[in-house]
Amino acid sequence: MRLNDIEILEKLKIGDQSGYKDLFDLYYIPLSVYSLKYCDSFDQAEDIVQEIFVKFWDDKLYLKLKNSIGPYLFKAVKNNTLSYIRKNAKYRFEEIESQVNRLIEDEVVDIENIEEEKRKLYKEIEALPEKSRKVFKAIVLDNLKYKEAAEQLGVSVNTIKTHYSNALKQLRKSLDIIIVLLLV
Amino acid sequence: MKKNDTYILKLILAYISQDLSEKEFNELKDWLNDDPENTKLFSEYLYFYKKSRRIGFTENVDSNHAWNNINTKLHQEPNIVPILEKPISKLRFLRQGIRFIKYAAVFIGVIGIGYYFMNQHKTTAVSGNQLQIADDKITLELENGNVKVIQTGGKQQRINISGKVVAEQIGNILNYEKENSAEELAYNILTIPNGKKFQVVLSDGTEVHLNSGSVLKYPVKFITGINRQVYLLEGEAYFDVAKDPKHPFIVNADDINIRVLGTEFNVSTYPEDSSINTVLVEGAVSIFGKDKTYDKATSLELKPGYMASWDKTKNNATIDEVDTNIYTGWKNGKLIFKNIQFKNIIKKLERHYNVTIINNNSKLDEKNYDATFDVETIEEVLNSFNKNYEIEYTIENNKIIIN
Repeated sequence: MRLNDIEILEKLKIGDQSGYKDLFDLYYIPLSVYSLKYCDSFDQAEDIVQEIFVKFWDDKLYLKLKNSIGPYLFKAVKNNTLSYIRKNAKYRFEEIESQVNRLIEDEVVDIENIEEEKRKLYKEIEALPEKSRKVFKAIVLDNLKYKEAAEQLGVSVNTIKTHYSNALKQLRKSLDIIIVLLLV
Repeated sequence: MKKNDTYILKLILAYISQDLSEKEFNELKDWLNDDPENTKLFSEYLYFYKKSRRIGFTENVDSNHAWNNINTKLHQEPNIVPILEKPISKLRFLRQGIRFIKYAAVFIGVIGIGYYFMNQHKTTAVSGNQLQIADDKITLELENGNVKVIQTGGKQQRINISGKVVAEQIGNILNYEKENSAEELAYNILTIPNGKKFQVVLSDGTEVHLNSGSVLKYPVKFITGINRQVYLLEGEAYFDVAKDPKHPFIVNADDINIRVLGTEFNVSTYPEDSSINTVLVEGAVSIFGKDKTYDKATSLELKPGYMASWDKTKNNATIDEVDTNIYTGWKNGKLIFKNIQFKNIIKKLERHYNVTIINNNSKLDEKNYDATFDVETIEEVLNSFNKNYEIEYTIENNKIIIN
């Protein structure tokens, strides 16, 4: 059973440590997904979120919170991810990034929602030519580097890039939203 | 210039994987500025890509691993039971094998430079036997002699004989009510077993950190007009004394008294150590014999950054300038040995981890070692001794045997 913020805070404040696991179960994946949206690195997203969980416990931050934990955690994840990005990503189109990020709703991320998205995506992927499908899966879903994907599929990095382009080109057409430009 | 679609798409991919040159970035920027439709197209790619990435992430994320990873990094009372493949009942299981390299030992001394040791050095050491560690309880002896077990995982109130709340305990901290004075002194005695640490805030606001294997006796309330006196009956404590110039604070540690007005210092009086050590972090302290009363002329004054070592057999003290961090690191979970005999290192490891170590290699006993550990498991500590000093060990019948 999943507890809500208030129930978790109550547990933590009376020193019931199982509340910390409840907090983790409730927020770890949504927070990591949220961070990922900004930083695009599976590992970095998890590192950032784990660091926040550690800090939350070590600094007893729950003692300062009253009715909710989620907003605090999401905000901390966003701040830390953005500061990481600003330090590490050299070439970014800030405005477009934030525009796109706003379109991706996230605070309400739940597993069912993502499962639904996943079903749709897989349906689209199945329609791709075999090689494009494999490359797209390897790079985007399984987080392989071009070089790793090339080794795994026994082709050159350039071939990987070509299949990857083809896959994205075709999949983009399946987008069921219209991006409304608010950019000036 | 109209660029061809395939080329632009490659630039977009290079942007997505942040693997593009400044020249390519500028080309992409120019292309975006050419036509609002291009920005729209680019945004769609980015949007689709990001949505797909999070699907991929949720497919690949390993929450159990993440949970264990978080637990290994906690400094504050990290006794949340991690997820283990085979849960071990009742006895607390040392979190071995789930720690990672980040918090590894840094060796100084013989090696000269610190380096990280790897998990795979479990090599010859572990003989299939695993170590189970008893979870000994912190106890509080009340003024009437009753002994209570302190459950660190909760919040409790301490009530005195007349039904009044005298202290509140939340997690690892026991906090006494702040009141001006009592009519007569009533003592409580806190006993911290091996493997545990604890903190008590006395009624004057003085904070005391207690290391593993320590016993502290102190009044529930201090009396106005009388010195604030506490007794470190055994072990090690770090005092952050609340300022009160009218009431000197005196710590009795075995043969000596340490008198302060308001300051931070560390005292250790473990049986295996030949001396009682007082390390001053801030302020000023005076040290005098346990049966004496304080006299400025005959007592020993200590300055910050210095350590007074009272030799228990010679009954005299020496003063040395020290790095105070070495002596206070234990408060933050560190285990620091500087020029310590191996037999004493063993005692300190036993106390810190609540394990039994039997050393069959007596040649090692008198040798001195330097080592610093952060939050490693006992296995990791032993493995780093194995790695750095070729000290072999096995685990038999829940005991660590050094050969």
